[in-house]
Amino acid sequence: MREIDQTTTDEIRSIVYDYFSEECDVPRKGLSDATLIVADLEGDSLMLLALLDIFRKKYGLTIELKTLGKHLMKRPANTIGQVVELTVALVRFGNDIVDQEL
Amino acid sequence: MTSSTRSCEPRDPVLGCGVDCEELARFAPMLAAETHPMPLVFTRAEVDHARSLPSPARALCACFCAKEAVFKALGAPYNFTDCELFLSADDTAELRLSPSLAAEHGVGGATVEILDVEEADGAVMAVVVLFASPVAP
Repeated sequence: MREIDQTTTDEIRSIVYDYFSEECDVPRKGLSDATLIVADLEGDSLMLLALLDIFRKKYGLTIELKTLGKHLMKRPANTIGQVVELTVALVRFGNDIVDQEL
Repeated sequence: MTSSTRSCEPRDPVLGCGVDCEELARFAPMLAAETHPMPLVFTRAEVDHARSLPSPARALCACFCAKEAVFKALGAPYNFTDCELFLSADDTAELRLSPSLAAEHGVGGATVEILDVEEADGAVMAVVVLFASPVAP
């Protein structure tokens, strides 16, 4: 398990917000933790996989898609806030995320 | 949309079918750099093969659509690199599932159709049917 400090959490949040703002052509001020990725932004799986790839490169994530998929079946990430929480958990736990009670 | 209708002799039971459609334009930027795009999704062999074709973005788009369609057909998450799609020069598609993925889900065979969606101004659709492994008599 990797320790995550507040600076890293803030950095992850900033990357997620900037990503959805740019990809969905929505001003960052128009986004909040409650913004729904599919219903509000017309986001899709390719968008989320591309975001995962950004974090894979930045933090050296070694998560498997199968593991991530199993986790998402238990705890879906429907909003921007949930994507931030998920990413923090991915950086913290990696492939062990599926065993965590988050 | 270009499409085809086929008939065939009954074969092994259908495990599931899946369909996915994506826009080509989203895949061109991934191939702009010489790096391996999204290695959790695409294998090196798929990327190299796509780059060798006249329309690399279309080939990579077809790969992604096929992987998503297989996910829908399986009804369960899997590692996308366990499923590869290769388009040939005459545009026939070959879908390869890893032995471990096929064994885990009892897949004995698969068919895939790659269709160009002309109405969507540059989109590709993949239709995948997975068949169960034959049961010994």
